Amino acid sequence: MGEAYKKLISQWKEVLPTQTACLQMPIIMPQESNDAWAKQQKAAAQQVLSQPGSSNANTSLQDLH
Amino acid sequence: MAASQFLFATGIENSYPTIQNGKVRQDEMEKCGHYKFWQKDFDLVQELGIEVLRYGPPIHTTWTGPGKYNWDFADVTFNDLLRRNILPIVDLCHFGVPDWLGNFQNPDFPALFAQYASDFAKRFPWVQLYTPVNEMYICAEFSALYGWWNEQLSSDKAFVTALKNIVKANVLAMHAILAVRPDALFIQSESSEYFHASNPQSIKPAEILNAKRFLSLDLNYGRRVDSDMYEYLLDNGMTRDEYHFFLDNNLKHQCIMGNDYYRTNEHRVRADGSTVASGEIYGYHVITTQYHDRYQLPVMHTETNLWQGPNGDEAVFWLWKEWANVLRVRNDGVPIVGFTWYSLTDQVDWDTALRENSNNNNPLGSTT
Repeated sequence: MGEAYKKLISQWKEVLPTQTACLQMPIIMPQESNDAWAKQQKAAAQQVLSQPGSSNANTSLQDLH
Repeated sequence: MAASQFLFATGIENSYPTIQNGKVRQDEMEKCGHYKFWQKDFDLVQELGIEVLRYGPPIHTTWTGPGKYNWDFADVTFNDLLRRNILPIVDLCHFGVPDWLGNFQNPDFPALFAQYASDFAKRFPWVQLYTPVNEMYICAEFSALYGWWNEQLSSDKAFVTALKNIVKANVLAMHAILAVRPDALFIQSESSEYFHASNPQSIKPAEILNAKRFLSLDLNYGRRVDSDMYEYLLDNGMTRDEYHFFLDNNLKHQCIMGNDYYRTNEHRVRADGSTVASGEIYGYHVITTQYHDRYQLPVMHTETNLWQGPNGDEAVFWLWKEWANVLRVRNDGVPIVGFTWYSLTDQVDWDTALRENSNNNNPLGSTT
């Protein structure tokens, strides 16, 4: 089972990009959490959340589907 | 941005409901040896080429009282995940609460849990992905409708009480986490179900069950429930104000809808409303599409597995079948962002849904 899953992941992991297709808000890997771009993302998210009737991560996605 | 690919994940099974009226804690991390071999478990995650791990601290030993914590195990394990750069999807409540909190009938649970979530987020600010409460519907159903876990009650009123407390806890926790980590994302991980009518007399009860299956996500995402379900909720103790809390406080825009699917998720309904397992009829593709049509959210396949059977290849065939379903969902235009074989290692006593403390090994793991 483990070998089959490992093979499936290695074959497909580059094929189905997550962020470009689906998420406006990128995922931050643990060790990148303090990188400048990650801090900018958090600050931008804070700004969006603080706005009344804020636009957000999935709004544009819902518009598209 | 390293997490630019499809999110291939596994998980450390961390259920911890109580049974036998609270006398026995079914702690899967203990039974599966994670407390002893957690470093080896994390090694195995990396050996599989996996960067994403569904994982959570044991609530009953970490959260020792209101605002009181023992972070010892969480500190060593989460700091090691950070060192390894493994992206955790953190579930904070997985089918149980600490002894001091009682059970899911406790009306104080939602607010107290939100404080726990906030304090966790402050301690681990690098964590971005959360499943605050795992499988909310199953948690309420097994605890308060089937009488199997925790409060072990068996009534619609107890079920609705558990459900509203659990979903409110999830919503308040999302708000609390966002106050600490404004770019947090929440992956629900909810069981996806379907009920098939066995005969014409069972069409109506099947319709009711097919409406009921959406209750946790309807409330969580602030979607108006069906009229049958509105009557059901109010007839069983939910007030109008409690209902409107969910309509007014949803954070759908921060969410990814996680759908769990097992061969046991489809059911045949008899005329009296009772059910029997049907096995896989529609499968993940059809049922997930129903859920996506309802909520219009990005999707992640957050749990599946199958016993390694007598031929030794049953689980591998199931893996390929689920993967083919994921591709079909994606090719239909549904934004599916990840897949999870759950769990990393074999589980213990899930053959009785954790109702019996038999220490039976269940060969379900991705390292089997």
